[in-house]
Amino acid sequence: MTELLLVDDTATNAELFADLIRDRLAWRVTVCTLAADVTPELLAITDFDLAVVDLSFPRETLTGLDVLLQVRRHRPATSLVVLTQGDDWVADLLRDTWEALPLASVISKATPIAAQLVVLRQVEESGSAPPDPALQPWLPAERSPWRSAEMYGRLVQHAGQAKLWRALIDSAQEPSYGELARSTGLKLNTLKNYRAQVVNELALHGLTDPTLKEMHQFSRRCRPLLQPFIDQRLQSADAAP
Amino acid sequence: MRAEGDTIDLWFAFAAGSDSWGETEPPNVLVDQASRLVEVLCLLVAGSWPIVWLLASGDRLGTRDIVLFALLVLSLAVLGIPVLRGRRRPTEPWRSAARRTVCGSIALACWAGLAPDLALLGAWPIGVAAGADIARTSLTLGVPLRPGAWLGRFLRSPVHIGVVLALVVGAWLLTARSGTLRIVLLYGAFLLTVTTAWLAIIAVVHLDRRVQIAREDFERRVVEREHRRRGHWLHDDVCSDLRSARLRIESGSVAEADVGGLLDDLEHQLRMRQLDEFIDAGSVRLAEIIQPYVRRAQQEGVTIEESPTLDSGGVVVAGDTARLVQRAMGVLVPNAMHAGSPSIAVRLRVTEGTVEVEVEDHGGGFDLDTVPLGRGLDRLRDELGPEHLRSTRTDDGSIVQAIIALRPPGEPALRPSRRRAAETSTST
Repeated sequence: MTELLLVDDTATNAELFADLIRDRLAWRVTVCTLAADVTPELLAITDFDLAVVDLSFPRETLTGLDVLLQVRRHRPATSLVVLTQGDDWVADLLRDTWEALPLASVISKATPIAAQLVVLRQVEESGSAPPDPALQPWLPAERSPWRSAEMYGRLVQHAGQAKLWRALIDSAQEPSYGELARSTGLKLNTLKNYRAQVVNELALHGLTDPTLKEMHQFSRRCRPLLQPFIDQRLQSADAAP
Repeated sequence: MRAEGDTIDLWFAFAAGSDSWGETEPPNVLVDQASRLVEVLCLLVAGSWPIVWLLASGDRLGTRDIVLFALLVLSLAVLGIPVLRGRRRPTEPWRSAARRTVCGSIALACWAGLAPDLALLGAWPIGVAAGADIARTSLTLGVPLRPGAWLGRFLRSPVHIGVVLALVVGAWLLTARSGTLRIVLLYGAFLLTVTTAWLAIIAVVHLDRRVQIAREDFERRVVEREHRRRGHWLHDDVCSDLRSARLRIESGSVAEADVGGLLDDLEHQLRMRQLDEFIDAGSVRLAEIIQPYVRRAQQEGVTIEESPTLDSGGVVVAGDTARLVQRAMGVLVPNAMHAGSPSIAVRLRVTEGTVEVEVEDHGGGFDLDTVPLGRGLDRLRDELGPEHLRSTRTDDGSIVQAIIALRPPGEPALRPSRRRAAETSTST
C-alpha cells in the first residue's frame, strides 16, 4: 500500500485532505501538523512513498523547506511534493525550494481536490507531474544548476563567511555593519571583504550587488540550505589546532 | 564580543567615510541628506575664508598664497564632490580612507599656511563638516557614538597630548613673539575645531533620534489605521458575502449540488478583492494578476494547457499597467470559458515597453469585428485602443492578444496632457 506523509499546519484541512486520500486513493496517510514533528525517528519507522509538504509554518521557526530536506536526508527515495497557497508571500521560498530540490511536483491548495488527487496519483505512478498551472508563473522555465542544495556550500567557503551568514540569520531585522561586527567579533573591513567574496555567487541566486538588507532576507529564507554548511565550517574551525 | 585592534578598525572605518559602507540603505534619508548639505556648505565657507580675510584686509596675494589656495580648493573638491553626489557604488574602504586622509591633510596644511593669525579662529566650519561626516558614518555603520564621553576621552587621548606637547616645544624653541602667538592661535583653532565637531555630532545624532521617533509614531498610526480598515473589511465584505451565501442556501435558491460552486464564487470574489489591495499598494508582479483568473478557470473545470513561467510572471509592474492587465484577463479568460472551451492557454510576453497578454481557446472561434457593442471585448478595445487588441482564428478556436504599455514601478505616469500629445504623435 502506498504510504504518504502529509505535513500541513492547518490541522482540520490536513485531516480532511488525508481522509479524502484514504477514501479515494486507498493510501495510508500519516499527518503531521508541526514541521518539528517530522523527525528522523518518524522517518525511520515508515518508508514513505510520497511526502506532501506545506511551505509555510508561521507559528514555527522551521519551514516546509526544513521538512523537505529532512525527508530527503533520511528517505532519499521518497517523492517530494509541495502543497501551497502559492501567493506572493511564499513565492520566493517556493522558487528557492523548486530549484534546490528535485521536487516531483507542486500543487496549489486552491486547485479542485479531484485535480490534486490526479497529480498525486501521477507522481506515484511515474515519479513526477507537471507543476500546477496556477503556480507555474512563480517557477523558472528551467532549474538553475547553480541553485541546487549542494551548491549552497559555495556561499560558505570558510569559517569567516560562516560567521557572517550566521549573524545575518540571527538578526531580527536588517543589520548594520556595526551590529554584525559586534555579534561576530570580526572587524568592519573584514566583514566587508567577506561580503565582497560572496557577491559573485549571490548573482547566481538572482541577487545583483545586494544590500545587507537583501542578504539578510536571503539568509533567513534559505537558512535550511545554508545551515549545514555554516555548521560544518564552524565545527572545522573549532576543531583546528 | 570585541575583536583585537577594534579601535584601529573603527578609526579606519571612519576615515573611509559613510559611502564606503553603502551596502546598507541610509537609516534615515532625511538626516543623511541634511548632513551632506551641511558638510559641503561648511567646506565651502572654510575654503573661502582665508582668501576673503586676506582680500578684506587689503593684503596683496603672493605666488605662495595663490598656490596654497589652488591646492586648498583642489583638495576640498576631491573631498566634497563625492559627499555632494551621495551614494552611488560603494567605494573600497582603503581607497576612500587614503583619499580622504591625504586630501584632508593637504587641505588643513594649506588652510593653516594661508590663514593669517587671527583668521585661524575661523576654523570652526571645518569642525562642523568633520562632525557631520563622523555622525553620518556612525549612523551608517550602526556604531553608536557617545559624544559626551568622546570629548573627555579625546582631551585625554595621545593625539591631543601629542599636539599640545608639539606646540609647547615649538613655542619654547621660537624666540619671535609672532611665532609664539601663531602657535597659540593654532592650538586655539584646533580646540575650536574639535569642539564644533563635537557639537555637530550631538546635533546630527539628536536630529536622527527625533526623526526616528516621529517616523515610528507615524508608522504606528498607519498600521493602526490599516488594522482597523482590515477589520472593517473583514466584517463588511467577507461576513456580508458569507451571510449572502448562507441566505441563498437556506432559502433554497441554491441546490445542494451547487453549494460547492457558490463557495468557489465567494473564493474568487475574495481573491479579486485581495488583488485590488495588492495593486493599490502601487506595484505587483504579473503572476499575482493572472493567478486568480487561472484558478477560476480551473474551478470551472477548464484545463490550463499552458501557463507563463517566472521569466514573465516575475516582472513587476506599476499600478496602472496592472489594472489594464487585470482588465484584459478579466475579459479574455471568461470569454473563452463562456465560449465553452474545454481548455485554454495563457501566455505573457514582456518586451521593452509592452506586456502582451494572450489567451488561446478552443471555443469555436469568433470575429473581433462582430462582438457586441458596449460589452467586454468591445470595451476592452476602447480602453486599449483598436490596434492593441487582436484576434486570430485557429482550427477550433481563437487566439486573442491584448497589448498593454508597460510602466515599471517608480517611473512617473504621463500627465493627461502629455498622454494625449503622445497618443496624437503615435497615431500620426
